[in-house]
Amino acid sequence: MNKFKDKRLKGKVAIVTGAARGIGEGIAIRFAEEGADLVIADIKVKEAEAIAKRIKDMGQDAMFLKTDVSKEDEIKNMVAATIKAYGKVDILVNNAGVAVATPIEDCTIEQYDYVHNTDLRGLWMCIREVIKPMKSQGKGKIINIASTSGAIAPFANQTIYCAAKGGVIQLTRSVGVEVCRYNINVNCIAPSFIDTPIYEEINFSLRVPENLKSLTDIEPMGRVGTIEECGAAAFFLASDDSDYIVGQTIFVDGGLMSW
Amino acid sequence: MQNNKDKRLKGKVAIVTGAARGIGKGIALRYAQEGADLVIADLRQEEAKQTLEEIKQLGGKAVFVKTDVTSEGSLKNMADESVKAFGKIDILVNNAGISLMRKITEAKIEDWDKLNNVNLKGVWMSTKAVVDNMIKNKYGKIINISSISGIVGYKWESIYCSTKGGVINMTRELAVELAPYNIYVNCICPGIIDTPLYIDINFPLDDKDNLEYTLKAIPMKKIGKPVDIAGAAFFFASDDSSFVTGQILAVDGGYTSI
Repeated sequence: MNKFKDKRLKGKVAIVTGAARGIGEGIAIRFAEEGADLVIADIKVKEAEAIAKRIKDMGQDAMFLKTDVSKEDEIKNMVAATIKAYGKVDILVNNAGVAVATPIEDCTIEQYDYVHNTDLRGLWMCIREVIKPMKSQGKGKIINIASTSGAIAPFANQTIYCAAKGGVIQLTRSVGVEVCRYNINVNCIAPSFIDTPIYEEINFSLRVPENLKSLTDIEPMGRVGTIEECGAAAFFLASDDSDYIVGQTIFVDGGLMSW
Repeated sequence: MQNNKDKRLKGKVAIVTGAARGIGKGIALRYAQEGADLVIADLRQEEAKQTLEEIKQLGGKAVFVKTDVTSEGSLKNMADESVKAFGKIDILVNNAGISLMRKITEAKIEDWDKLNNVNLKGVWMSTKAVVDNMIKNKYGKIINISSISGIVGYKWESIYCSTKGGVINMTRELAVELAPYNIYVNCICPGIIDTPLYIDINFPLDDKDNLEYTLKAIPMKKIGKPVDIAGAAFFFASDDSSFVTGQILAVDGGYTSI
């Protein structure tokens, strides 16, 4: 795999949560193409091991760490094991996320906790754990994955998910300002509709033509995005090109937010 | 100045307005490093020649087209000369801009017209001048350079803030309007960047008091450099932004986050 001659993340160590598939997969693969070594943190063992193998076949190092980001001890282990293996952590991508789609009157507290414990609380804990090593390194890049649903609400039944993702966008600003003086850049990517397995989980398969059309109809670009396109935006925020960028959210959304 | 092995803008033709110095120059040099052919569109002949020379030293190709973004005829000439030199226009960076620090009680209508003609009408007219070629080619990347003054109020810059706010929402509209033609329109809002603009407005950043006053507002506690803006302008010009349009990206060391 020699897509790029320059390895613009050469020598970097990146943790990507939820990297077993979907957007996390797209990000991990792009980072590997750019010469980074990867920690694949996920709860899906088989798929995560397959991604780690793909990355090794590309000539980069990769390590799978079974990690549930709703659990503090597993996050502590994730960061400690990364430091033990590589001596540092340059990049953290907080991508692990879950979603539910339920009318608010039918939502349970368990659903609320299920989504927020991973999407918001888990993300916050992951950031907390890497700040110390990044501070002592004198540089770091943290990229949070939110969603257009953190800023607009194009669909009903997403109160829990929208609240979590809105929290991620504002958390990005807050922690971005707090840690930027240590040369740690915290920024955020908010994708709109990306072709990933998450749509199967919420019973809205993009293989069903009317489902797909309902999304592409509201996209100015008239299509959904790809995991590679999310990987490309994450690469920008992981690279030196973002050294003066703090607390920003880039919507990778085909223009959805603009109309 | 590194010369990248990968030419990630190879085969692309980019016009950068106001590329004689400052942020525009930084963007032009980065694009040249990435293999793009450059059109340096500016009023300042001597400084533009210097930019041209530096691009040639990087092994890049560039032409200078003397351009006044307040003149429709001059912009038509800019587009024509670009196509004549390189056959097409892939990337337009609307960077040319002027500033003014003046209290509203003292500002004149002439100040309003002068700033708006360059910063807002100039962006619209520049875009209009190249968009036919981009539509024909079914490809285009337009990058508008606004400012943090388009997002927040910067004291004594009522006119400048108005023009830069206008650029931001023009970006969103053009993104929506031009998406069907595979033309992307995005916007960068630089924070305080070390450029000659601050000398123009009698607020030199090498003055101790000015610097101290300014750094108070920047969480990163440092002034940015043209190369910081060039990094973002490269992202928006490259294939890596293929699902990104209508975005407003502040490159400001956290200025607008507090």
